[in-house]
Amino acid sequence: MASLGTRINEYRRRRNITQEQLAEAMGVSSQAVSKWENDISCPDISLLPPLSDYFGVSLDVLLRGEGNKPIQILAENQRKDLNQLVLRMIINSSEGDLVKLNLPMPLVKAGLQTGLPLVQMGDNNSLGDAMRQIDFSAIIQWAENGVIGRLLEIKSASGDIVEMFIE
Amino acid sequence: MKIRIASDEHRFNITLPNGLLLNSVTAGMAAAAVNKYAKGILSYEALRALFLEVRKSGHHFKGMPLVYVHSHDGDEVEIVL
Repeated sequence: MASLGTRINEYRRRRNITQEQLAEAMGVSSQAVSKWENDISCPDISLLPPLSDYFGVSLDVLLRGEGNKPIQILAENQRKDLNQLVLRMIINSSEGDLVKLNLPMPLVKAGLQTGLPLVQMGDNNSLGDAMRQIDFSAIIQWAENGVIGRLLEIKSASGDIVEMFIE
Repeated sequence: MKIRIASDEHRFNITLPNGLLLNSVTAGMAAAAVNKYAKGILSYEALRALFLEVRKSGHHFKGMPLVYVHSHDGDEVEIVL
């Protein structure tokens, strides 16, 4: 499992910002950010919520990574509005390609309503077939009923891996 | 919306306001381009509705990477809301 420092480094690179820019946004020195990323020290606990907001990920994802959230059904008073939920997909091909999709749920819903084929895998392999079987309208229904966490993990015979989460 | 493309040789960063990139005019252009190669997959109306939804999502999820691709040879493409 990747360390917190590795994830901070990854999210910073994804946003295409420097350590200095992140440091300025968090009100710390760039040396402090460098120490976080090299696992020499950890961010102060009070900085974790602003860090997760800044990177656009949940606190859970920031602390535990994207692949470690079990599926759960939230009680009605804990549920988030569908507009605040994201369908995350991580596709790791056996050839070493990585694709990450963060689809806001309203966008998935709009895609379904417009008849857009949400999953188009290039090859006619078993993974592509499995992906085409996914019922996205059911996933939206689950999300509305409080289901969050890791929904599925598909491993193809050729070693491709697809993971899907609701967050 | 930010679009970042990075390879060993090239690096592009394009930042455009969502309103400029995703509107009824660009939806028409995109629909025409799509239908040129794959007729009937996406209508102008569908694309306009999708663009509108992306713009709305941009308010809720500002800064969130929508798509991130890292190829096995190190090329990266990222689209950030």
